[in-house]
Amino acid sequence: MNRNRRRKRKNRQWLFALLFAVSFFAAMPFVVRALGGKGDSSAVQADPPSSMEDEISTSDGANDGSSSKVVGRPDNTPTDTSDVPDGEPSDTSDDIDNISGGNLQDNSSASGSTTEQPDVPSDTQGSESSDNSSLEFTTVDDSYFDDALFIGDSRTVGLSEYGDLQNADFFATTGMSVYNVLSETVSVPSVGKITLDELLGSMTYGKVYLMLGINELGYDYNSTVEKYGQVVDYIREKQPGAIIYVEANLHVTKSRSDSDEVFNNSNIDRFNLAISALANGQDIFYIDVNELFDDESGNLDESYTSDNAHVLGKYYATWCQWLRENAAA
Amino acid sequence: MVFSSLEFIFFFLPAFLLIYFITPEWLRNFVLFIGSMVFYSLGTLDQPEYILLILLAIIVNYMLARAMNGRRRGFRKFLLTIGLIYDFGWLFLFKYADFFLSGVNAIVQAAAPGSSGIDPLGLTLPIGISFYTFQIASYLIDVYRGKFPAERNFIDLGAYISMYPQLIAGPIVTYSEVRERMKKRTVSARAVVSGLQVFIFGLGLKVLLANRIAGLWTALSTIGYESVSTPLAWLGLLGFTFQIYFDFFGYSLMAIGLGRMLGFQFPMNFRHPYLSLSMTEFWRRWHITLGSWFREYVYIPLGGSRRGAGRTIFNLLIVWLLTGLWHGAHLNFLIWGLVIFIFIAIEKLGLKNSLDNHPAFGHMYMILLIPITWAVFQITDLSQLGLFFSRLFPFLPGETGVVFAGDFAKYLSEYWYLLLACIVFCTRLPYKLFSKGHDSVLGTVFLLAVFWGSVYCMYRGLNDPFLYFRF
Repeated sequence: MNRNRRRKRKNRQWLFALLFAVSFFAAMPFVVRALGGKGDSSAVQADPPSSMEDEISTSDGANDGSSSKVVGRPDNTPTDTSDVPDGEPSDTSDDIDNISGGNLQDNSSASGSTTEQPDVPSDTQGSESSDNSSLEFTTVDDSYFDDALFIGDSRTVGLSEYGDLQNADFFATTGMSVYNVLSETVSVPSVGKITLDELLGSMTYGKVYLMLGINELGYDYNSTVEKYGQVVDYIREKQPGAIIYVEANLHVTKSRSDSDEVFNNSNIDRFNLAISALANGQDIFYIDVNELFDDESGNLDESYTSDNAHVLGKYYATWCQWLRENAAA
Repeated sequence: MVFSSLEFIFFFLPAFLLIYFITPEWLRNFVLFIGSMVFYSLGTLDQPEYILLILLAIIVNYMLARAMNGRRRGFRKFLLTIGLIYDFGWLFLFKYADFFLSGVNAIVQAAAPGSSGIDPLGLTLPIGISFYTFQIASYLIDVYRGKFPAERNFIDLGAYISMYPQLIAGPIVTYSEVRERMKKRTVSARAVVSGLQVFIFGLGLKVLLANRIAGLWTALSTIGYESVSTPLAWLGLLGFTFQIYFDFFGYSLMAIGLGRMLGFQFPMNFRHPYLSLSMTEFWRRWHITLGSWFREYVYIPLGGSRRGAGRTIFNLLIVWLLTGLWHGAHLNFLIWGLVIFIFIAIEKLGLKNSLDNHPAFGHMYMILLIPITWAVFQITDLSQLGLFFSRLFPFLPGETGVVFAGDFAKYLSEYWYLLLACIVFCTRLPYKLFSKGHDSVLGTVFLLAVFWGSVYCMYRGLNDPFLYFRF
């Protein structure tokens, strides 16, 4: 009896050994691939989860399909009769750091006009068009954020939890990216669990702040930039009256930047530069909070963070104050 | 290279085991020695000279121990002193020199304000030096004491000191514990499989519990202690309490499993420490091999508890300050050791009896005390430590930043299932079930699931920057 049981036990041990060996060798190819790819920067994933192809509909009727950067004009904004396609401030490339505080016009011209060429950069500021409908960066009070929506990743989560913009809505979750922003269901404080589509369908926002892009750094750069443009287009279409703030992604510290092949500041800057080109100075603005938190060499200042990537809770209030002082109105 | 890495599990270990088992028995210590050196050099690629350091430690202690053979006690003592100065000198240089210098600088500054201090050395700590120094010192002391004769075979001694399963994180194995097996050990297929099972169990504790619950404490640091609510401060500290246990315990179990696969029997390093009723009991159950080391080589030589109450308390103080310092060269580790000393001393004066007689009270006492001592252990910056305590105990003065009112609910909803699993694995139940049923069908399924889960997590952590680096 006893020997019988013993033998049975022994056999089962072989069952374990066998199954383990099978799983071990089954896992081997994956491991080899994973480790083999570790040396180069192949944390890059070529095929990001694509669930938004269908969800995003660009308003190609309005802007003659010129490019994803072209954003459909709001239909309900005051119409400036003068055709000022070249009145765009050239906030697209070199002077991204100077955007905030600069004078920006609202050129919201003939709605859906086929003549507009909003993507053409121009060195002239088109000051002749700065009339009463122009928006400029100024300091606002909290009521400005009554109809504001913040969309973003963990940095925006921090802003919602530790910032003091109580009246704004926040559609943010850790790990949010342009690839999942339309598929995620997020618990929006005082609204409930909701998708972005439902939220934008049920509310009217005057300002939409968007901070996305750092989680995507592991993905293919070009497709992320393209998706980002589509997300902006989508927001524009769902909220035609809103000012869209394209927010620069917050830097990481020097130590993180130097040791990380993916999440480093040169990748962040490259992406920020790309999305800054989406700004048109009329209803899409690019703002860069890094000026608040950077050290002198353009990295997140170590004293503001403990994890090299997020500012400490107490600094979100500073960030909020910066948002009040850098609002287009 | 850590055990909980794909490189180790899928490349180093199988390659090593293959060579180890096809080698005839008499050559296996040599394979183990070489294999351990390879393992060590893979972990110190940036400082290859550190391999020399451990090799030298083995050579020096080997020769000193051999030289003790047949000599007078006085001469043996002389050799022992040289050996200990050599061993602990390196440890001091790498681990404590900067701490010592900062202390000297502080005193100099106080005495003569404005004087420039000595620059810190900024040396990188050689991996495992705290562990192998303790092992080699125990060897030399034991030879001096005549517990066993000096090892004649250099390879055997080298294999013992450098043995990779316990080289970088313990358990601290004394030579008397493995000496016989060093000479003759047979490895059955049964032992290999059962060692593998123990290894997988430990791997699961490390990868599936410790690594994941670690997010809770990380979140607290990210937020900043001043902006953490009191409930979250406690929750986060609880998370860290589990993290440090399953991390260390998991690693020890992996070491024991590996040892068994090679034919060794390493001592148990943890025996359900969180079920203890007193601090005294806790430290008999937590990192047991370190406690035994200090008992054997510091406490007893100092006179232990045989020289009266006053001397006993003094001896305890020495042991606990040293234990604190062993864990790290920061002021907070000294304070940590001091706190443990105070509680153990109080318990020795009579509290322990009442704790033992009232288990419910004992558990409550320890459930409060264990996390608090871990807070002192974990937060090396004293002002941050003070700040954290002002969050734990809001009546203490301290800066309060913006606190997110929903923080506790948020993290509890995120981590409750892990916390629950951690609580279960602090009890005896899982280990009883494991030792009874590791060969049963259910046990097999469980262990395979743990293995797959761990490999998946390691794979994801490596390949997918979004699992651990999510913004």
